[in-house]
Amino acid sequence: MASVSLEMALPAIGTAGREAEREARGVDQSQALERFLAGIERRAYRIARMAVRNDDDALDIVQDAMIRLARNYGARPTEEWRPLFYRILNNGIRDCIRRRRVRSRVMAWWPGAAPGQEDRPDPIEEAPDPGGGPGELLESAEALALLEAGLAALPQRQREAFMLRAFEGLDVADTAVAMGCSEGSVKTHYFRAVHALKGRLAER
Amino acid sequence: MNTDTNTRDVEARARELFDDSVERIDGATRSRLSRARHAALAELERPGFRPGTWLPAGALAVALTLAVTLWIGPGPAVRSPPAFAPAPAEDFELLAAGEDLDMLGEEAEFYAWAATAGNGAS
Repeated sequence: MASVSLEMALPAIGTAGREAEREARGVDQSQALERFLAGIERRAYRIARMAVRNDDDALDIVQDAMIRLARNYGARPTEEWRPLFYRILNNGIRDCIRRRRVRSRVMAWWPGAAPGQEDRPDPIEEAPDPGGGPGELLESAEALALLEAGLAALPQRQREAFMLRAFEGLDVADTAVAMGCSEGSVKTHYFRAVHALKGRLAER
Repeated sequence: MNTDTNTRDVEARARELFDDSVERIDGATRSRLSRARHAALAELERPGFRPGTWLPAGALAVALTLAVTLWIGPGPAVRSPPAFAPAPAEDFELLAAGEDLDMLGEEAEFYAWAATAGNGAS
């Protein structure tokens, strides 16, 4: 009689166990994602900021990338998150730049609007962030301004390749995933970017 | 050799400047990034979110769509082979991205660098 009751209870225990296991896996995944995002968010923000040159746009792009990663790829193995995250981030940056171009073209047709007005950087926003000693800060800010100007002058794909490889240390394969192109293209874009930036950074 | 050294110098200097700029992000931005992260994590905690449960459903939907398409789709049509194979979009992208073509004179330098850089090099 006792054995019958036990057998009847086993499926229920199994279901509850699986449910608990699934829940524990969900919690682990959530913690892993939090660690991943916490470790990457500031760098991602700086990359987006350098590409779109606007604080609010950069924050929106990073937040959107985080949400999309969690929503669409939160269940994927953790080692896949990095290239996927940067792919989403890159797409966000491209969309932002594309929207600006369209807006700028529309504004050019609008009576009284100066063409390219939307894209003109705000001098206050362009000011360096506070922190560090005055001399060190000035030198660092100047060098950073040179780097940012150099990156801004690069074609989009070269800029992406350089930021992902040099700043984030992604290997060629992961950069190809993030950029949505072949590894050969990554090497070409990266080489051209380095070649173009060499002159600018050599000035320092 | 010299090219490789220069490349590493550029990478190192750029990374140093970038890391420095990351360290100097102001408190308000850090706080906003933290809020953005919590908003993203809330997506995982939404009721109904179960890691991986959408995968079988997605696979089933794709299979059903494919089956229906094959079932009611047009019969086999005679197609003439394309006169030429379309070039990959990437090739056009490389040519039409508004980039300079100075590289043509530097191909040898590039391939030498690419060979030393290798696939996994970061």
